[in-house]
Amino acid sequence: MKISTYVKSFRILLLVFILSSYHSFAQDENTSGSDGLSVEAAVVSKGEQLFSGNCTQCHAVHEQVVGPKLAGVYERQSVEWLISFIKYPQKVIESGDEYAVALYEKYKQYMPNHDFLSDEEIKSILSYVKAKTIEGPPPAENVASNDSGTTGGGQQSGFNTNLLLTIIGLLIALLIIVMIAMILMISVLSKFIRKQGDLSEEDQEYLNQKFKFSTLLRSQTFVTVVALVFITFAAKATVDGLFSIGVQQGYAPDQPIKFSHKLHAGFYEIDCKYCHTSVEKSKNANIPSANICMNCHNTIKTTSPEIQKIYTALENDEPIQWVRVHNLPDLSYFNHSQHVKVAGLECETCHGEITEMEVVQQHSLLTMGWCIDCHRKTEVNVKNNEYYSRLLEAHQGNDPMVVEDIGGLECSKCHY
Amino acid sequence: MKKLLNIYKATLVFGILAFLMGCSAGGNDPGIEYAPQMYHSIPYEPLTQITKEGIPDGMISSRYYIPNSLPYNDYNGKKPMNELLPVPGTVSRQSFSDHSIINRPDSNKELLLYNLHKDSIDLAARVLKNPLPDTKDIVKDGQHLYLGFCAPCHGETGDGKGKVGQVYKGVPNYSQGRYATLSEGHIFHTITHGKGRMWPHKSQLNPEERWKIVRYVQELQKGK
Repeated sequence: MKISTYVKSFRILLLVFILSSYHSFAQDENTSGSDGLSVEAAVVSKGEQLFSGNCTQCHAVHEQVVGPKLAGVYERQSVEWLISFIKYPQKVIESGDEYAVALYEKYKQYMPNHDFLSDEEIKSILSYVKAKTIEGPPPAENVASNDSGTTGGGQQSGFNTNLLLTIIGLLIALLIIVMIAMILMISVLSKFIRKQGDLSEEDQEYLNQKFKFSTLLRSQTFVTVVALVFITFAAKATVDGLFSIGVQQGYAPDQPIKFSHKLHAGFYEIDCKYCHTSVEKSKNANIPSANICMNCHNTIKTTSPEIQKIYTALENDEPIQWVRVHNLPDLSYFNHSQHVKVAGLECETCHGEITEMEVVQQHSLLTMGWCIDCHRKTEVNVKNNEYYSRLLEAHQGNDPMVVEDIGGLECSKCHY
Repeated sequence: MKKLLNIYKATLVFGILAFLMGCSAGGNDPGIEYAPQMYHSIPYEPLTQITKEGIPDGMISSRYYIPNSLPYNDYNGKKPMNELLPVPGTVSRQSFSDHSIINRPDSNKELLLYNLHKDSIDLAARVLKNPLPDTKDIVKDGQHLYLGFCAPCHGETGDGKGKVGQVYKGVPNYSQGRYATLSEGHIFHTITHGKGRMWPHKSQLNPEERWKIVRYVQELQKGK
């Protein structure tokens, strides 16, 4: 065979290969000439890789993210224009190009320079965009499920309560029906017996007796029972009341901004220390200043009236007047970093299910008995702690080393 | 007469009960304190709640009233608050770091005292070197901090798919494209002053903590 035949057959093979593997894009094979973008799989997959590495943080093909959506972008401007814009956006905008200036007016920010990409690489990215444009947007149900996933977050817990209430309601209805049925049966039966007429005097008396409420009220048994119940409840209420003096468990004040821990810490899983930054470093777990809110709320929910309060506080340079929920008496010392960093306790151990709270409330008693109870039960966390692990070695007994054993009940640890 | 006495007794019992039930906290009511003078610090404690509203005259006071605090903290005419602004003229110490770290022999003091301007990201990317050694412990500390301060947006593996990041948008993947090659100085500067859509985190993390995070981010840049 001659070389030319080789070449010929190779070309045919190549053509067949391309046609068979890119069948799905066959329809635009014709149009590929006008913008010079090929939609070959090799180019597209290279483009996809570059796109996900360099573009996805600001752009998507079928939706507007930070920058405009890119579907059909190759039709809006020439490929040469796009290449120069992607490489040096600011330069193109400042050159006074009408389209570029309009983009800047709309999005109010410069896209960073991408001069590290070669022309070929940018073309492959555009090829990827083209392939995706032809493919069309993803099915709508995906988008819908995404939306509900991001905006929801407060629906789930209601279900169980509702179910429980329905069950209780059904049971009560059943009880009433049974009672009515029994009363009907009794009246029918007693009517039937009376009709028979052959009853002894004793039985007749029993049948005709009427329920006297006043006799019941005056009976000694009833009075005693009621008095006992009342005294029990009164004593319980008195003791409870006395013990609740100075205990603020359940205190859930309205805050100046309706901040939801359930949404932020629960649904979005933001770590407690992102906002309460000093919890591992200091005695106090600080309340975040407004600049920490602004890390996200510079773009998120900017029009909400509650978020507007943050902006007002920042404009006036005034701290937000959060109402303090937990207040340990001044007569006792408590250190957050010792408990969170050294002991490795979870915040929820003392503060309860914060991730479920719309309004924060004091979960624990914060009484001395409550502190001591925990110090008696909790084993010292010796993991990754050279000092404590050596201490454990030195004092190895049969019992595990609890906080009490290292002085957790000494008065002067907390009161001085 | 006897009847009247009974009614009187019953009222007294109910009165005491109602009074005691009022002691417990709930909703907006902090409940009654036994000894507010011992509960509230006379000197300023961090986040002490100060308000002059509703100061009662009685023996049992509302929790917010700090008896005898006026001679020490004259807040007359000022706004009630629980966060205090720094004294006017305070010089910020963004380069402040834990002195025990600065004085460690293996740490580079000058880099923990960080004073580069926020626009000098290119300089930072070229010049800055991590003063902390590349040890397992440092990376582990960095991971701990990363999960708290970065993962909500950047995702636990640095893929930019954190739950907040998906809503906030514009979060890069560390291990792809040019982000995989960014230098440690660049990362440090970005945490400090923010970049693009990311806002500065220097108020939440001191330089040492930022350098620890840099060590961990560099692990994530390698991808897995």
